[in-house]
Amino acid sequence: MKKPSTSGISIRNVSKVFGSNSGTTLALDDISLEIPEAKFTTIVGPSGCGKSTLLYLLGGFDLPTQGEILMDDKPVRRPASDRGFVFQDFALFPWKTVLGNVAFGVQANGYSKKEAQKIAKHYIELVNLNGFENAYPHTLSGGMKQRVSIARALAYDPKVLLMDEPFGSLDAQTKKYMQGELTKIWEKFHKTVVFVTHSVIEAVYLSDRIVVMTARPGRIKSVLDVPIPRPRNYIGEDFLVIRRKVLEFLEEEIQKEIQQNHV
Amino acid sequence: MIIAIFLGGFFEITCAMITAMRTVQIRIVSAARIMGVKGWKLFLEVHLPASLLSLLPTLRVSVGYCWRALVGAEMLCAMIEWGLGKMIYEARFWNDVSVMFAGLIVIGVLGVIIDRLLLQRLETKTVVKWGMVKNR
Repeated sequence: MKKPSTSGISIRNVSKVFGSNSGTTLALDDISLEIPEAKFTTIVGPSGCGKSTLLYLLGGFDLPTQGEILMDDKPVRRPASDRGFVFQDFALFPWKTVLGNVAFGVQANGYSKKEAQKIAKHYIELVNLNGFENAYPHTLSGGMKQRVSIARALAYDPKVLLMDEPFGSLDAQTKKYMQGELTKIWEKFHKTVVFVTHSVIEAVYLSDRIVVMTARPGRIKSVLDVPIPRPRNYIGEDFLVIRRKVLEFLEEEIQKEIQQNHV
Repeated sequence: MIIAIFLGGFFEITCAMITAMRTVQIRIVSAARIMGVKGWKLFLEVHLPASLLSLLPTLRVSVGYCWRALVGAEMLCAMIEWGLGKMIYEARFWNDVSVMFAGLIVIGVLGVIIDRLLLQRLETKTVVKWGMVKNR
């Protein structure tokens, strides 16, 4: 197996404007951020702050209106296999089995079908889905589907993993389980991860660094480091201290968002 | 005759395909694109299967149109030795009602058989297997 490689991302003065018949919306306002290599970075913010928009820009699905995004000194302008993406609603291919889903990306990157399946099996094992290789996605539970999604995104060995509220549609118990699993997986590869969530607990549990965004138009409010060794204790003293700090920042912005939109 | 069949179904199928592909969940396509899939592979292995569900009803109807076009073309085509359409046409000429009706019924039955054999099996092998449709 190839040794996993990873990269950092440079976000420079990125702004994003959405236009429509009813006017234009400034979603992201002059964001500059360095995503450190081989670290787990989480972006939190109130609803509508543009965190998913930013992630989609990192994925190359859309272009910034201004500014640029660089990875390995090359601008990110379209989706490509140096990045992996995990969607909140899994986005698995329903016409392929678990094995088919996970192997698809590998095959698309130059491996033969046999080799791709071998690599895929390895990642399916990594996410604890042995025995489900030939199952179709619609027969799986939410947690299982998301595990397939993660395996699929990792299988072709991208340099960066982008995750858009991946555990958002799971129940509380499955969520906790998945957070633990993701930490275990991450410890194996130490890939650069950019994780978007609105759960502060999730952010503090998983990340090395937390970026808090403001209400729309989205800007960087603050960046906090989380130097707690893993696996982390949800109710440990150091955990709670950081959680409180992040919550304070986030609450301010949530209040602003409510003022903006619900008054 | 081949042209008749072609015209019978072509426009319906094309329109349906375009609409069906637009209906495809964009996230599924995005997921494939970030894996590096593009061009023909993206079309054949992602867009096509994903849009199959939306395509099937129109496909069914279009096959019906094509079948009708076939019979109709037969009626007008002087070069055919014998065909269902020709049989009905001649029966009309001689006012042979029973033959006419027999012909019509056969057309209907054959149409259903085609539907069963081709499309239903296609449906079962694909959309039902993939869980996109709830089966009785």
